[in-house]
Amino acid sequence: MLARIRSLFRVLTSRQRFEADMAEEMGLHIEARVADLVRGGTPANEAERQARIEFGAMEHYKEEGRKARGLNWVDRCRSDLRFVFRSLRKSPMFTAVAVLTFAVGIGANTVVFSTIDGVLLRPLAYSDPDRIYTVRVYVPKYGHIYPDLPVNGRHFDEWRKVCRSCESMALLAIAAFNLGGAGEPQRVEAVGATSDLFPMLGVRMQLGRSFTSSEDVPGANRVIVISDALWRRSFGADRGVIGRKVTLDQTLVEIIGVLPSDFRFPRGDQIGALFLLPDRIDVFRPLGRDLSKMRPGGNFNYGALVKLRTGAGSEQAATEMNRPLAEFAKEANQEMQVRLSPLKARMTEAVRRPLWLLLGAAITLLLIACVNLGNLMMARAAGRHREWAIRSALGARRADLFRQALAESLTLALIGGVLGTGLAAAGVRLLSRLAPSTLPRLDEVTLAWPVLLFALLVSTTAGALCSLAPIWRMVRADPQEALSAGSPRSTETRVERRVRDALVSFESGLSMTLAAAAGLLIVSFVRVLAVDKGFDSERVLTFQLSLPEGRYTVERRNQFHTELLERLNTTPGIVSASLTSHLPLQGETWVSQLRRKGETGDFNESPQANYRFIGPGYFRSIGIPLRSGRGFEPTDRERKVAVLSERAAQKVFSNENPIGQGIQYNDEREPTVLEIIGVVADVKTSGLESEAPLMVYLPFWRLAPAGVSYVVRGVGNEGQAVATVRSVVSTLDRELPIHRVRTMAQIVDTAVAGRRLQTLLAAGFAGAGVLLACLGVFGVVTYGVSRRTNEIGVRMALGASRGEVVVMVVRESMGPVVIGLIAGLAGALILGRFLASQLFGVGPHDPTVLTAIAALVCSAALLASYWPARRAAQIEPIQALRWE
Amino acid sequence: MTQAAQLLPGTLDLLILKAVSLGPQHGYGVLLRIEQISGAALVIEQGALYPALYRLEHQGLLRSEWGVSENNRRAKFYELTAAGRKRLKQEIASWSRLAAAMALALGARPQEG
Repeated sequence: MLARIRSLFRVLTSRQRFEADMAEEMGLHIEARVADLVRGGTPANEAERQARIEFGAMEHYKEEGRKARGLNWVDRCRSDLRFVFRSLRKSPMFTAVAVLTFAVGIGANTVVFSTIDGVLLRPLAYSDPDRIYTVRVYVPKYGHIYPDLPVNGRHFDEWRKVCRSCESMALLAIAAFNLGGAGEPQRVEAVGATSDLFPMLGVRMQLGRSFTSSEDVPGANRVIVISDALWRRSFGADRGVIGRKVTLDQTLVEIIGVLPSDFRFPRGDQIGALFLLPDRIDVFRPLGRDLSKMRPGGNFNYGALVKLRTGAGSEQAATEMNRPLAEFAKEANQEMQVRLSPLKARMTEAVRRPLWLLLGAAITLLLIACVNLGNLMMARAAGRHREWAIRSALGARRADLFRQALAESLTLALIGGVLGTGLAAAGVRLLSRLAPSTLPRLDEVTLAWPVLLFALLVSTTAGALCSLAPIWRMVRADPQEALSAGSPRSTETRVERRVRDALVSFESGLSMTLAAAAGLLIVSFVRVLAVDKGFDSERVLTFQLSLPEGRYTVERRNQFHTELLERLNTTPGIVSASLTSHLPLQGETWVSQLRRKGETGDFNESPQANYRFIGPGYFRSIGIPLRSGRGFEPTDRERKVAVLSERAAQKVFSNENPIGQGIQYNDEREPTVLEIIGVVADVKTSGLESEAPLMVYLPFWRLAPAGVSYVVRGVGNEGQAVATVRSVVSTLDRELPIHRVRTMAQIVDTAVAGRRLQTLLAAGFAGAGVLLACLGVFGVVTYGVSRRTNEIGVRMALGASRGEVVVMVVRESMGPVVIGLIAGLAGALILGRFLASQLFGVGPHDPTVLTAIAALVCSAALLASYWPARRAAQIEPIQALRWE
Repeated sequence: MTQAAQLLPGTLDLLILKAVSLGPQHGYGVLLRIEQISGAALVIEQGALYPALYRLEHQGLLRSEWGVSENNRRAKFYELTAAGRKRLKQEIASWSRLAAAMALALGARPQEG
């Protein structure tokens, strides 16, 4: 035993010496034998030959010798690898195509799977995230515009008392402040929250502490917790920041905690309509309101999160919370119901379907890649028929051939897998740059271990499957036949031909389906871009201003806006400047009823409209076409006037001329009557893809909002424009930050970012799919032609023209492609309904688009088969016949 | 020409051990000695000798050393180890038993009765 181990060890440490020794020893044997034979009278040249014959197959015995020394698998792996690399180097075209095919298939899958893992699968980074639910209220009266609403503070106060299934609850209010005392004045997004929030989420501060319930009372909420980003940005990551005093809109507050850098909070409208959490929340502050004194009617202004007790069901919790709500509903005479939904599901609801569809596309691509590889391997296997026959005649065992074929596939798969993972890493990074902020949890997407394992598993499985082709081929190989038949003349068997045709049909079908989906998405994207937005986005800069309520009374706000508008409009380079309470494409908000003056009855039955408060010249500045009448003028200050959108005018006044007529809007105190002075075009509000809502424009001085968006048209380049605007603002108020500086073009861009990404990915996958399918067709035809060189030569010798040969080859190879295209088209029709919700302005069965895509894929395949066919036709008949 | 017999499986190892037991030998020498002691009645494919030598060495029955051959060439010499000697003795004993049994069996005549 010891001797064995020693021997093995010796082999390991001196493998090279063993090889040399063995070669020398056998060489000496032959030499000695030759010498003996010569001495016995055999001629020298004959003796050499005879000695070798007597010795037998030296390579075989060397192999046996290695085996006898044990540890043969090390050598075997080495020699197999060396063999694989040598044979791959000999066919670089095949190797490149195979590796790239693997890489593309695996890369695409890894990117998509990483995204799905990060966005949909991985639990939220809170403690017990599955027990955290959002609370919303369903109000049937508003059901047709909002599936549910944020909650009322008073209702929350009651729920807190009665919900026994709830472990804890947190109420949230959105706020924004001008932060002072930390460098340049800046606008920070903030959330007011009850003290349960952080304990509920299980979030520990990286510095300091979170706020307590004794700080969550009116007047005592002068403490804040800040984000890691703000801490680094404005406090230079100073660990002494705890206890530091800063101002929020002139109120002195103390910093008591810094959130960890990996803290995430839902963004945008992920919690639901009318509660637009900003993208980056920098400040959390105790809510500091006495909820028990709040009005129980209306005021659906708060977000709410609840953590259920372990084992408690959300339906039970909703039932408990609905009890007090029913009483409030009776008082207010309007129905209300609590809606609980798991936080993660709620956050990712909008993207779930697009992401799964994307995974479908990626898997289809991988399938195409695998089929393509199978085809490639089969063609290669058939081409090496003769090589294998020779090698097995020379003594290679069948198992060795299997092993090498497997090693070749696995090597290709692994190289492809590594390359694909690299592609995926780049893809994930690219994705996080391209993707819109509306894609939730994108910053949590990373190339994770499970994903890498997934990629590796897929690549090796695909590799093993693909190597089945050559193995299958070898099992049937009979060296005798292969050698005597001579490969150029032997043609494919019928079964082989059928399998390969089926593979071609399969991959052209899959790529057709993929291309059809991508085509429909591309057409949708083009239609979305061509939508009449209702405004002109060119050369319009916007920024927000928020006047701190402490320093600015209603009167001073009015003065400020009037003055700033005047100054901006007289600044050289600015064509027109105005302001609005809400920019287009920022969602429906400030919705209320609207009706014609003099109408009576229940106001709640009247149509709903969005209300916007704007400055004079707003329509000119943002480029909303005036249909009739005029916009507001400074001289309208003392009058009660309004401008309607076309749809609003149509809805209220039908075909009458609305100019000069009166409308009423539902003011809480008393219905106010306004005179219509103009009608303007409809403007897209919640997105380019949804219908423009009814819109009522009122002059800003009626409300004098503290926070407004300014709209500035026609200043040279953007950077310069921002500097100009900033300097004009600071002449009025040095302390006032301008924020959310964007051009209208950027706003439009953000609105289509999600669709653009989806279209881009789909088009990329489909393009890759069609390319792979074409490579498959190309490979099959090239191979088929090379095996039929002889036959083609005979045909041409018998008088077939080059054109006829081309037509024959193309026709035969297009057969399976056309079958595949028809099947793929059928697939596209069947799968259309899954895609329907993702389309805009085009049906899932649009005949024009589907026909165009089919024609495109068909001509690509035609090209892929024409090329080798033409080469076949250039064969000289005499050469072809001689070529044996 | 002598009628040559095919080797029974497993007998090559025994022959090698026997050949080497007569004194250290290099590979070609082992071959010659087997031919010599068997009166050229046993034919082995020459190459097959080497895997067998390596196997026996690997099993610790032989050890090898590079040395100089009778005609002053470098050569690898094999000699028996203690374990090899012991094994040879066992193998010879069991072979003799087998041979005797075989001879007896094959020499039997139908019983007259």
